[in-house]
Amino acid sequence: MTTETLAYALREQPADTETGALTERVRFGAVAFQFAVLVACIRGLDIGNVALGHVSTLALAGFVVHHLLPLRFRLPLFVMLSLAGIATVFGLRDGAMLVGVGLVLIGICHLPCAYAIRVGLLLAAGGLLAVLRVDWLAAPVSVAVWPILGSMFMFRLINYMYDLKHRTAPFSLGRALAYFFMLPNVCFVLFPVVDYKTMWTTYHNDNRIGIYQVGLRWMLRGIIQLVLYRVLYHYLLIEPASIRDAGDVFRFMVTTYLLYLRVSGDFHLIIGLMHLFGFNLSESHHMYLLSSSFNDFWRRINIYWKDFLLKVFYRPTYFRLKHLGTGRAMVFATVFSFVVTWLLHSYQWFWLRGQFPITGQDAVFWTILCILVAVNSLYEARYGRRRSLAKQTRSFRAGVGIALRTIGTFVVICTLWSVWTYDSFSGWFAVMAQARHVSLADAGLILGSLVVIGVSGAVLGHSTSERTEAGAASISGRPPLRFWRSAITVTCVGAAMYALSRHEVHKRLPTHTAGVVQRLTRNTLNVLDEIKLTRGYYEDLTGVTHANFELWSLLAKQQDVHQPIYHTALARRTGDFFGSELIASSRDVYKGATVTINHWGMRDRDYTRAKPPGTYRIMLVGASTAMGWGVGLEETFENLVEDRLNADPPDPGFTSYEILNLSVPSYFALQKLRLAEERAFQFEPDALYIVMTTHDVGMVNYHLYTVVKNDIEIPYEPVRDILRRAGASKHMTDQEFWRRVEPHVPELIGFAYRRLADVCRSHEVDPVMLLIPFLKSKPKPGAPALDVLARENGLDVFDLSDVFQGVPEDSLLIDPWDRHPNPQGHRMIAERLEEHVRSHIRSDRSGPRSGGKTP
Amino acid sequence: MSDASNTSTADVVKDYILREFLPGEDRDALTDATALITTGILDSVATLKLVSFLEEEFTITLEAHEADVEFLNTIADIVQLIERKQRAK
Repeated sequence: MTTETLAYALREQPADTETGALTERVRFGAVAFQFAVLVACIRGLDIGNVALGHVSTLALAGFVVHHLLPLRFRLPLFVMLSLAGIATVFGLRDGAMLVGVGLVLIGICHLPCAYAIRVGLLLAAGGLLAVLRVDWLAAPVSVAVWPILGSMFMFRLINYMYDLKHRTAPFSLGRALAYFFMLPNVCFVLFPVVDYKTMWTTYHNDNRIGIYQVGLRWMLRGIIQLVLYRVLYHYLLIEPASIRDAGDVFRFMVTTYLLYLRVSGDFHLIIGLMHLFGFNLSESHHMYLLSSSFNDFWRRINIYWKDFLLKVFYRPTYFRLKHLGTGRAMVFATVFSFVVTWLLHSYQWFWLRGQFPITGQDAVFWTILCILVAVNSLYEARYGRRRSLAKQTRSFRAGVGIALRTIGTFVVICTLWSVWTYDSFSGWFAVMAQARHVSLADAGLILGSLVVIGVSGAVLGHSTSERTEAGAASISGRPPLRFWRSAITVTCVGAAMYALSRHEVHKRLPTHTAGVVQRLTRNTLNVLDEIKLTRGYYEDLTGVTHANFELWSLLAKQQDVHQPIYHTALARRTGDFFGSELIASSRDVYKGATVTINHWGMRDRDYTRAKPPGTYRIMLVGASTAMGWGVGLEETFENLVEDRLNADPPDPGFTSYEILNLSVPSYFALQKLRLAEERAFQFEPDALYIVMTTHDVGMVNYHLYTVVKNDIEIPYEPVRDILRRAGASKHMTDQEFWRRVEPHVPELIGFAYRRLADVCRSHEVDPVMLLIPFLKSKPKPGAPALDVLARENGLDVFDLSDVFQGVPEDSLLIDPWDRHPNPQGHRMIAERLEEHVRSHIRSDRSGPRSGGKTP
Repeated sequence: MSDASNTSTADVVKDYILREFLPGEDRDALTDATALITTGILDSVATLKLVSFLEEEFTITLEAHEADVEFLNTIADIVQLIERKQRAK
């Protein structure tokens, strides 16, 4: 078969011989119905993102028209749908910019000059785009465009130029547009490296109903994998700081690896969707968990990437070096390919996030995997592997061999994966050290799991592994399609999953089950990522790696999401127990709101230090939400309450009411205590409200690690004593520190409350704990109840933790990527708080006081 | 080069594939149209071994982009490639 004889010329493939035109129409109806069910699933289960919901609906409408059109019009329609998808997601302006940049790049590929000059021009264009990507020059596009532009061109352009050089496929503007702007790409930053030549050799190369049905099956498989990923993400993932024994270590390693389901699920969805438009591409992943060797793993996981490397880097290197002998050339080509893979991962990270990370973990992961694959390749070259023209029968002994190899490969890959995705080597070793605590139950769990992997590998893995090497062209390797069986499966499973996404179904389930189902059918962060995201508000976030898809995809949309406030004119780092402070009389725009700091260093209106006669004064000591993060000064809940109290005074004994806001972002329980002690009482308050949010529990631990690590003196002996008892020290990794201190967090918060209550009462000030929720965040399982702790330690409690109940939390966020409440959220807090404050003033006060120390 | 006058190119290729990758298999089961790459009989390592064999056996030079499914998927494809290379010499 040569290029000339390849079936590039578009022609309709005949229907199956057993089916007539009528059956074909019925089958098309069944396909369209299944596609509608899957689109409903995608929307109902909140799969991917909002963009995918819109684009899949567009694809569904386009699919019907596409099918009915004559063949020659189908490609132009696909291109138009792809461009419409871009406009839908980005809007006309940004969409036009994206397409415009793409057209320039495609145009350079086809300039009438030497190939080397075109490559040089592309590199220059890439350099210019890189300058814009890192903001050295202002780019006239939204930051959200960059990751998608990157995912469309960063690898496919290389592939395209390779095929252009060898003229191994036909080229036209329509084909180029379809290739680079592929309809689903606008919804996914991680996208399979589809091969240009394969895309066109497989386009409508079989009966199209069959192609559609395979695509639908893969889309369903993708959706199932993404739901399984949510199960893993919300219920099975373990926080490193909570790892205590060998069972936990095993769970940590396995779940870290299994998070990859997110990528394989997305890729199945993408390739499946492409099938609905006649692109008969092969699957992107193939039972990679059951790989029985390192070469096998490399061939099964992200097959498109492997094919890309093989075509553009491995084979050309091998052919240049083959005079050295097959073995040597193979080893050098393998090493070169892995070095390229490592660099291309950082290159990908650059286009998606604007950074070019080179980490030790990357080096270790790719080096070890490279050695394993190279050795495996040499072994295969020398001894070969068992192949057969007919279906293989296998002895029990051979099955056991495969099972053992599958287990070995799984364990090694899990280990490598956990190193690769961990923040630091020392942290990883600290986690692994917990494996020394082994119980009988742990051993049973580990052995049982490995046996399941081994048996699955022996039964399922080997039977199809020989086909995977064919990669993007393995059409003939596919088992024959049983249309109706497949259609019924897709319809039933898809419909059941869609039903589970419906509120009407949730209402009929027991409360706990409904809660679980709701979580699995919504795209939300888990508790661990909530904490990481929260940390991201306060520091330069470095823990979000390529392995953390949820946070990563969230942050990819908005670069300044984790810009700490001390990077603005409003605050500075102090290097002491507080960490940072607001700068008096400063002004800046932060998180979309103009923020002014008064001359007392409060984000608030101006007040006199001495309380005016007849005034009831409240001091508010909180963190970012209480400060009014992302909302205007007059929109903060404390100023709203203050205005309402003054408009309708609850107690005729007071002529005015003031709420002074001492809150500072990233202040947690102990910092709030210190702040109250040092600054609150000079303002002669009648009451002091310490504002706590539901995520404060975990952050106490985080704050103490920062303090201890930086040799900052802790001003409270009881806290120092707790750390001593916990065995926590500055020489530990953060995870180890947190693991040791976590059991003592209730004691730490209890101390802060008790001391605050004591110091308030000594100043004749009413101590109150105001509990407000942190949006889209659930308390960590087993976390102490803040309200109970507060009451036990002498604080009154205003519990507003359910203030947002009944309102979609997404509608209360200041941004989709920022969990602080918007003005509406502040109004809701203000309404409830006002009731508490009025009631509190009426019940506790009989008349005006001068406040503070003065009776 | 093998004795091409007595043995056809297809037979030489077929013998090699049977000997190296399918030992013990029925010779008749491997036809000129049997898919080799897309069914996984030839993986990337085996394909490179085959390339080395073809270059040495038929004194031809293959390019990197020719070591793929388009040119090497069946014995018929391989023979066609060899003949084209030999004609171009």
